[in-house]
Amino acid sequence: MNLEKVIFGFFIVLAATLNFGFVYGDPTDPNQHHLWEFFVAFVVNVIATALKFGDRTQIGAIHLATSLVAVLQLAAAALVWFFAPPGPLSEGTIVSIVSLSAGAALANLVSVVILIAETITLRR
Amino acid sequence: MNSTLLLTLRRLRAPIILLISIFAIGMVGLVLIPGVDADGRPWHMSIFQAFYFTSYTASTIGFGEIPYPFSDRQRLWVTAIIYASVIGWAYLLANILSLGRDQAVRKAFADRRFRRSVEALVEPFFLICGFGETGRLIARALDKRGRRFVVVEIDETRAQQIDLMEFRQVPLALAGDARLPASLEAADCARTNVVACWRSPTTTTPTSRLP
Repeated sequence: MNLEKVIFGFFIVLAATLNFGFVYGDPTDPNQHHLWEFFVAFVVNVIATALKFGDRTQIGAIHLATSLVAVLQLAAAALVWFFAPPGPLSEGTIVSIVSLSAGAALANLVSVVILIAETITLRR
Repeated sequence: MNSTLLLTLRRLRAPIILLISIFAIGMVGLVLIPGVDADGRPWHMSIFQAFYFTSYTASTIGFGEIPYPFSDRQRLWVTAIIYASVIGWAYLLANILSLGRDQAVRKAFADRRFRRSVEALVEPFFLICGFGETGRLIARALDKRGRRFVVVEIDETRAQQIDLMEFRQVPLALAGDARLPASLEAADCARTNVVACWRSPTTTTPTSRLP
């Protein structure tokens, strides 16, 4: 067992689960999507991206690409949140935040699938 | 393709992740700890304000306590952020500076520069493998006739010395083993007119090949 691999897998799966957890729920209801969960999902996604730096293999490149997509989507969602009018979030705003995050969740899912596929092909 | 950037980022992974963590923890504390606004009402920072504050504090710019003066509780937390983030920055900077001394990174940058310069050569050129006595003579002769040449030399110090020698044209040199296909490929050997000269440790046997 390799500690680096554990950390790598941990952050990739955590990025996906947090992202999914934030998206999960009624997309029109701001009460079902917590700001802090979004914040933590964003930070973990950025860390997962940093962990993927510097792998020259094809799989490493796709890994990095999916993470960059996820961070970009989450950053867009954060900007929507930032520019939302003050006070409670309107239905339209929360829907667009959740749908952007759902896109990030899909990218994270791809990342997890690659991780699993990589692990399975390693076994002989 | 851009392996130098990836190599650099890979070496900086640990400090980058440390800095991200310090930022995140600092921001969480700033948002959670209540402050007091101008009218004496409790007030919480937004995540964006916390990010802004952490950014200018961590980079030692220090715009001060905005938008309202901090409470002592906030100041206690900010003290912790200051020490942690300055250590994080220092660690990152130390890593960036030590990259400049890292042999692997320097070689990667030098190789990339060489590849680009060779690619940029418009005119036909000669590839000299091994810059021993024969290689040097051939280089001088080519230079006198106004021909461009590219050198692949196995000895690193000797490859660096080529820059200091007097030639009419700027010589391009790669420190690498000419027996390896990668070195020849870097020197764009498919485009050269003649691959000239070979230096072995014991004997010098010039050979040439037409394309």
